[in-house]
Amino acid sequence: MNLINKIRKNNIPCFLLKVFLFFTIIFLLDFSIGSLLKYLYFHQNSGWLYRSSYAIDSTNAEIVIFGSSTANHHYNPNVFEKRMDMSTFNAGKDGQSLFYHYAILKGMLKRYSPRIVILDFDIGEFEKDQRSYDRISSLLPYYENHPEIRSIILLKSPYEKYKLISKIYPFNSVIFTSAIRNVNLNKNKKRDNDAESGYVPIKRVWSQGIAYINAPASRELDSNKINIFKDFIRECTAPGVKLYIVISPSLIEYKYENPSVNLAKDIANDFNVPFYNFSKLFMNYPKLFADNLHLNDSGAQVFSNKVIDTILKNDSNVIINNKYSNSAITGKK
Amino acid sequence: MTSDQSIKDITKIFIGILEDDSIVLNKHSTINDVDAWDSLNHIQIITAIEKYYKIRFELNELLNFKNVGDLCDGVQKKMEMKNI
Amino acid sequence: MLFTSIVYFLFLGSSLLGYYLLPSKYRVYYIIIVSALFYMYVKPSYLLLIAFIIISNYALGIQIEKSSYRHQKSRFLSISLLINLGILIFFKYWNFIIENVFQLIGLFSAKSTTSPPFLDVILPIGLSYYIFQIISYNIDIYRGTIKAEKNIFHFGTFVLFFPKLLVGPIERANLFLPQLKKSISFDKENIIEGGKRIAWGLFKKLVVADRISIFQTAVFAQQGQSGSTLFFATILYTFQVYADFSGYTDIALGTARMFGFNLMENFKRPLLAINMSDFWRRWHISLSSWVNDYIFNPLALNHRQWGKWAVFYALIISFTVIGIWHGASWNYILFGLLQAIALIYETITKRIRKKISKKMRRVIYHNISILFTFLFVTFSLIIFRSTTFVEAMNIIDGIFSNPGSFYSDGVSTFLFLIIGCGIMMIYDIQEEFKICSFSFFSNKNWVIQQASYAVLIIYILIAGVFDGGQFIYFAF
Repeated sequence: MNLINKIRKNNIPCFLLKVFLFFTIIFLLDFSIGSLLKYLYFHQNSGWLYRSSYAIDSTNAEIVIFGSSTANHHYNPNVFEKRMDMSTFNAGKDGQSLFYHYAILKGMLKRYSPRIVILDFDIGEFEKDQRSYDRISSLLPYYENHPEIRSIILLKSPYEKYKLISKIYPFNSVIFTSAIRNVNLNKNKKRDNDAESGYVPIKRVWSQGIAYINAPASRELDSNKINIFKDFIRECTAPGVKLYIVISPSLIEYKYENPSVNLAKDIANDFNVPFYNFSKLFMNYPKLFADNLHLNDSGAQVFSNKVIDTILKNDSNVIINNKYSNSAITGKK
Repeated sequence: MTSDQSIKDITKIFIGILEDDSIVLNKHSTINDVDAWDSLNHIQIITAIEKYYKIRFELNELLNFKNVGDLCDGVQKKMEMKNI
Repeated sequence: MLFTSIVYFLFLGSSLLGYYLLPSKYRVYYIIIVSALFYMYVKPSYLLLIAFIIISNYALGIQIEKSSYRHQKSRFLSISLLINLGILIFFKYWNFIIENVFQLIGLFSAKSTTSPPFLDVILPIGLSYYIFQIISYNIDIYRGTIKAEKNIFHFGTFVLFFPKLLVGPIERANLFLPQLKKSISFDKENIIEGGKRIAWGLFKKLVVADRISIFQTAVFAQQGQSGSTLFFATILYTFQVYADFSGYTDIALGTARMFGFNLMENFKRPLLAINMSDFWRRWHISLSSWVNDYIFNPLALNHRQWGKWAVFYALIISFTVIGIWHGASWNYILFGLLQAIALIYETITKRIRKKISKKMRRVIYHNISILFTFLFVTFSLIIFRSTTFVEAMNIIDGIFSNPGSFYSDGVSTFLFLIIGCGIMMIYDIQEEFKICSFSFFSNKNWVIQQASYAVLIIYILIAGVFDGGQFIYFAF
C-alpha cells in the first residue's frame, strides 16, 4: 500500500515514459547521425583517414610496408617501384603500434597476398603502453565490415563491445575531417597520389645532434604485443609472401640493452624471418634526419635504397640460412 | 539604545565606509546580500564601529557574527557592560 | 576511478539502484559502505588511514564541545590540527620541505654527506579536500557555530561521501550534516536534475577540456612556437582548467544530487568575473571561502589596528595557502602570491577605478573589466602550469617575441575547440546576463528541454575525447 502511494505521489509511470522517450530520441539520433558519419567516412577520397581505408580495402600493391611513423616517413614507394619493378604501398601510420599494423595486414590478406611485406619495428615496440591500446580507435570504423579484425579491436578495453552499440562511437572525432574531405572540389578529378603511395615525406633538416636515452619508457613487456608480433609473422608465412623486419635509423643512442629488440630478433630467427637492425646506420649523418626519430625526404631516399640493396643481396640465400646471414648483414651485435 | 537605533547607526557607518548611499540593512543582512561589502572592507567597518561606540570586540566574537543582527547584539552587549 | 570512465557509471548505476531499493533508514549506512568501496578502488590500504582520521576527529570534535574551559577546548583543537595537518604534510609536503631545507643547508656548508630522507609515498586521493573539511568542522565546533556530530556514521559520511572525494567541493558541516538527519526518499527530480548536471560535466570535461589538452600539450611540448600560437594556447589553457575542474565538479554535484544530497556550488561563471576579488568569489568557492573563514578573517580582524596593512598581510598569507594547497611546488606558491598582489592592487585602486567607471558607459567598462580579469587569470595560469619559473618566463617572452606562422594541425581541431568553448561560454553568459529569453536547456516545455539534452549527449559522442587524458587536479 505504502509503495503504491509512493509510486503515485512521484508519478512514476509518467516519469518512466519520459525516460523511455528520452532514450528513444537518443537512439534514433545516434543511429541516423552515425549512419551519416559512416557515409562521410567511407566516401573520402584523400587524406589521413582515407589512407587506412585504402590500405585495408583497396590497395593491391605487391610490396607493402607496415609500421608507425618510422615506416610512413622512411620508405619511399617510388624508389621501390623503380628498382624492384613491383607496385608498392606504404601502410605506415603515425603513432600506431603492432595492433594497427596487424589489423591492416589481416584485412589485406583477406583480399589478396602481397609478395613482399616489410615491417618496420619500433625500438620500444613491445613495451607496455596504454596509448597503443587507446589508438586502436583508428580501427573502429572497420569493426562492422571486417569480422577478421574484431578480436584486435576488442583488446582496446573490456567495454568496447558495449560502446560499439552506439553507431556514432566508431566515428568519434572524425566528423569535420571526413566532411571536409567530402566537399573537396577536386574530389572526382584526380585521386590523391599521396594516399595511393601512402608515403608522407618530411622536408625539414635536423640541426641538432644525437640524443641519449638512459632507460626505457617502460621495462614491462606487453604479452599481447608479443603474441600479435608472432601472429603477424605467421600470417606472412603463406606461400609466395616474403616478410622482412627492419629497424629504421635514428639519431638516438640507447644506453641500455633493449629487451624489445632482442626478443623480436629471437622470434624472427625462430621463424626464419630476416631481421635487419639499421638503427645506427646514419648516426653520423644528421642531415638525413628531420628530428631524432625521423628521416627527412632525402634520408628516406637513401634509406629506401639501402633496404632494397640488402633485400636484393640476400634474397637468394636468406631463406635457407637466415641465422648466419642475419648477423653478417647487421654487422653489429 | 534600541536595536532599531543601533541598526540605523551601523547603516550610516556602512554607507560612510562603502561610499554607497543605497545601502539598506536589516537584522538578517549578510555579507552576501550587500554588494559592496566584502571581507576586504569588513575590517574597516569593524574598526569604524569600534571607534564610534568606543568598544573593542574579542576576535572570537567577531568571527561568530553571521549577520547584521549578530553585530548589533554584540554592540549592545558591549555597551551594557560598559554602563555597568 | 575516473568520473568519466565506464566503470564509474556502472558503479553509479548499481549503487543508486541498491540505494533506493533499501528502506530509507539503512541508506546512510549503505552510502558509507559504497563510499568505502569507491575509496578502496584506488588503494585499499589507505582505507585504514581514512578510518583513523574519521575516528580520531569524531572523538576530538565531541571533546572540544564537551570541554567547559576555553584552554581545554583549545588543547583538543590543537591535537586535532596536529593530526590533520601532520598527515597532510607527511603525504604531500614532506619531500618539498626536505628538499628545500637541504638546499638551504647546502648554501652555507660546503658538502653534506647525508642524502635527504625523501619519502616514496603515493598521495591518498582527495586528501587535501577532506583534511580541509575536517579542520573546518573542528574549528566550527570550537567557535560554537556548530554542534559536534554524535553519530559516527553520519560523521563518516561527511568525510567519505564518495561524490566529493576526488575533486571536492570542500563541504561544510553546517550545510552537509543536516541533510543526513532528514530521511532520504526517492524523488525523480533528483535523478533528472542530477543527470542533467552530469551531462554538462561530461561535456565540459570530454568535449572542451580534453580536446584543448591535446592541442595545448602539443604546442608546449615543442620549443620555439610562434607568439600567436603560444598566445592562443595559453588562452585555451584557461578554458581548459575551468572546463576540467568545473566539469568534474558538475559530475560530483550531479552524482550527489542523484543520492538526494545538495553539495555547495564551487564555480559561478568565473571567466565572467569583473576583477580578481570577484574572480575568487566565483572560482573554487569552497576553497576560497574556507581560506576566507579560517585564515583571512581571523588574521585580518586580529590585526585590525594595522588598518589596510592587516588586509595586505592576511591576503598574502591566505593566497600562499591557496597556492600551496594545489601542490608542493614553488610555482603554486608563486601563483598564490600573484593573486595576493592583484587583490592588494585592487584594494588600493578601488576609489580610482570607481571614478573611471563613472566616466565610461557601463557596458563598455564592464566588458573591458571582464577582458582584463580574464587576461590576468590567463597570465597567472602560465605560472601555474609551468614546472619552473624559467619555463614560465620563456612562454611569456615567446608570446611577445617569437615570429613565425600559426601552428595548426588541421581545421578539424579548431572547429572542435571553437564549438566546445563557444557552447560552454554561451551557456555561462546566458546564465549570467540572461540575454535571451528563450532557453534550450531550461525550457519550460519538456520536449524542447529533453531534445536539447539529447543533442548535447549526441554531441559528446561525436566530439568527446574518450581515451587518455588524466584529470590535472587529481594529485591535489
